[in-house]
Amino acid sequence: MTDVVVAGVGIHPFGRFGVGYRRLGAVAAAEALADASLALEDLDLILVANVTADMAKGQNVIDQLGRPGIPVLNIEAACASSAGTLLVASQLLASGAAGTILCLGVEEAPRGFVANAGFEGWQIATGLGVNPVYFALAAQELLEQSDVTIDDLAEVSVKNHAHAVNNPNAMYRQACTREEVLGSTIVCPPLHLLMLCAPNEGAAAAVLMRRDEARRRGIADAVTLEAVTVVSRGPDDWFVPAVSFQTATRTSLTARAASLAFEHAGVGPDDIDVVECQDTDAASELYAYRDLGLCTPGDEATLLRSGATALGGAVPVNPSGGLLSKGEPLGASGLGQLHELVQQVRGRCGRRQVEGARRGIGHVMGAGHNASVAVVAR
Amino acid sequence: MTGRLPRPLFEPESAASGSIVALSVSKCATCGRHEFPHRDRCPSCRSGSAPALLSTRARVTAFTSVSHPPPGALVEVPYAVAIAAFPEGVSVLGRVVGVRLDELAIGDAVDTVAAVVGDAIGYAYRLAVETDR
Repeated sequence: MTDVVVAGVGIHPFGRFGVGYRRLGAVAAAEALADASLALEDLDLILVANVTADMAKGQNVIDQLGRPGIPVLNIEAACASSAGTLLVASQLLASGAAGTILCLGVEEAPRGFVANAGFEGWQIATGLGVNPVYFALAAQELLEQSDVTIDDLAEVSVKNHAHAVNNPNAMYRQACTREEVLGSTIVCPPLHLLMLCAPNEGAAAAVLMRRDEARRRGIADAVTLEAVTVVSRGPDDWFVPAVSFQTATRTSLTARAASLAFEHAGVGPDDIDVVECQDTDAASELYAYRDLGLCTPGDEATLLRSGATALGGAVPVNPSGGLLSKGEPLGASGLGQLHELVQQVRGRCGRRQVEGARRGIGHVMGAGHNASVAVVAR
Repeated sequence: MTGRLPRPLFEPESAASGSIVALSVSKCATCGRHEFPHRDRCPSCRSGSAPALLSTRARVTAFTSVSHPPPGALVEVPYAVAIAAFPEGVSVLGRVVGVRLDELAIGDAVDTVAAVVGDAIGYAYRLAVETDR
């Protein structure tokens, strides 16, 4: 898979705009095509990641840009939808079945409660169909089973919001203090409002091709997609919307996705300079530290408190501000991370640049039990 | 969304609210794994599974609460939600009734009970009164 490259990226800022998903997606797609010096008609295939829009959503977005008549397919895996487009694209390119592919993630999430997360009717009726409940239970387990404290959870939010001050594409760009985080409304204890991300609107896109095609086209700043893995539910995982799990043998989707990604890329966690991970809530970022191999289980608080995962540290996590600051346009999340990672290894992130970044990983998780890790390098 | 629950999740199905019930699970004929809700095949070894009932008593391993009414919920806020670990090796999420959040603690024993959900009956947990340890 090291033969697949990202030839161009584009993004529509994340936030609340009310312009409709067609417009959001068209902006990101056009920017990615321009970045790769490609016309819409140069593409073989368009893969569109989206969760909440109507049928043929990808087709409706592309129609804003032109009518190339090529296959447009919509891919959905909840918050890991973007990863699905990257997986399919990379495999088609590696096999030679396609030459140039546009991967586009776009979302105009309804405000407030994330509905349709796959809960059965009885779960919803009995009050169990609530996504933050899952994050809160996992957060409490982390507090109980490690030396992570509520202050550490607040610090994740403080860190990521500080990063977003320098990200014009993030929804929330103001720094916050630990006191403000701990003073925000308790949503599902122990999680406060400022420890949880908000679903919103946005889009991000990437043009993928093989390295030889990028050379032929004279694309100077292509970034290698060293690996992208997607895993779904194994026998012993637990995530939204499952109501039960095996007590003694709970496994991690993220750990499996990461292990496979490192294996495919031929690298390890020590080779990573920058991380964009799924901080749907503050505790999820700390779990990602262990599951992505950034620390051993039990050392999450130590890693955070050392400053290693803040800008300027050894392995900055969520220099974009993460979901906590960007918000979460569900289908666009993973491609938004790819946009950040590509720009980081290209050295184009300005005041949030990770010095000397050459290799980064992106991590998303989705309801229904989906997880993905992508590795990019220059 | 009506209050009707599509299949029995517990027995006895016609239990009165507040009475103790047992969750309906499946037990794998080969590896003994219990699954809730019940399924025909074991997700672990794929052998056939047979219906079984869980013990009615479990232990709280984590808990939280919900204060804002979620769309479609037929229960009143605020309510507590717990993960309860059963002796059969499976942990199941459930609402905890008849308790304030500050009365719950990890390690508490709970009984599975029938509880009103809209115009139907569902399952929930209730703090058990333990007379011996």
